[in-house]
Amino acid sequence: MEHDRAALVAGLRSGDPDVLDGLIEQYQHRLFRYLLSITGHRPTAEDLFQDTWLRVLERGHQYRGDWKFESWLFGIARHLAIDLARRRKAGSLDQLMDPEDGHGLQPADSNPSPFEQAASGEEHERMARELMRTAPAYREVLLLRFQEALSLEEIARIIHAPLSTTKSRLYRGLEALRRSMGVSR
Amino acid sequence: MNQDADRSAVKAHQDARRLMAASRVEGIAAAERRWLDAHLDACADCAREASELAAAIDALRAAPAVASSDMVRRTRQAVRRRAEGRRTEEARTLPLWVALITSAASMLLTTPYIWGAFASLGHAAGVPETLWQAGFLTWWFLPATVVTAILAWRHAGEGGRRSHWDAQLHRGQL
Repeated sequence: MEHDRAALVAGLRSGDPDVLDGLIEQYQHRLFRYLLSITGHRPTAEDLFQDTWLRVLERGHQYRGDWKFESWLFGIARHLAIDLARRRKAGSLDQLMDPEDGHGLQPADSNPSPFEQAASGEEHERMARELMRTAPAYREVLLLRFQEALSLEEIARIIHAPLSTTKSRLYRGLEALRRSMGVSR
Repeated sequence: MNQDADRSAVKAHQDARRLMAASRVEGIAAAERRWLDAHLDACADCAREASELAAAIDALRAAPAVASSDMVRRTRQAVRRRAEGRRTEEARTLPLWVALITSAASMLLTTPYIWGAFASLGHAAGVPETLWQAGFLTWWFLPATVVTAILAWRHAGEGGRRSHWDAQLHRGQL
């Protein structure tokens, strides 16, 4: 495990294309799912997907191995998504990810959400619909906690928020999701 | 008496709801777990909420999102191309850096002698002091200026090629 981590750090530091290729293969779906969760918009998530890996190449020397790689990867992806949202909306970070008012990068349309498009089966479609109704700030932490199984500390690092805020968002997001799932049954 | 019982029941529901969420988010103590399990056995409403919460989390864990193979292929190409470009650039730049460092070291070591040589030649030729001193400074900065110009030129060229590749990759032309 330590050896793997050391090899990963060395590969990223040297910008080894084979190491990056392996990482893209390994994390493709998880990264894309995370990007969808924070953007709510498939074309934007696709653009950010490529930008994230190029940034991993550029910043690989900064990865020290003291974080899980996926935490570092999601941190980069999040940073790029927020940069993009700022350029598009000229709003502040707080506005963009505000749990009550922020809508992330979601387009205001009635088309099926990217999760709905990817979902198959009635239950998955319903979950996807409810997930996309949840505020992006809640959706993000729910995904990191329950899909990615990251620790609270790792999530707090990724979203650059105190542990208390991270927990609070998780509790509120979970309650919002439970309510919406219960109501729509 | 009845009011006290109602209040106690409401508080029990609130505690149960809090513990249900806490058990999923950060974990709860064994004693809290035992209390919660006993409450859920006795309270149909809380048991239903617990079941809804479990279903929501299960569904969340199973929510799919698949990266398209085309997007992944384009990304791999872009990253590989950029990585190889960087390596090529580093290989091309390395001799320049070695030359620069060697040159700087030799200049530091030889400066007193070169200064003396410029001064002697200047006095022998009868040129003003500022002129031979300017000559010395030109000699001093010339290697660094040349190397900087070469690096800047190469960097600009590489940046242009990279933008072109990126634009093509985004359009799916590569």
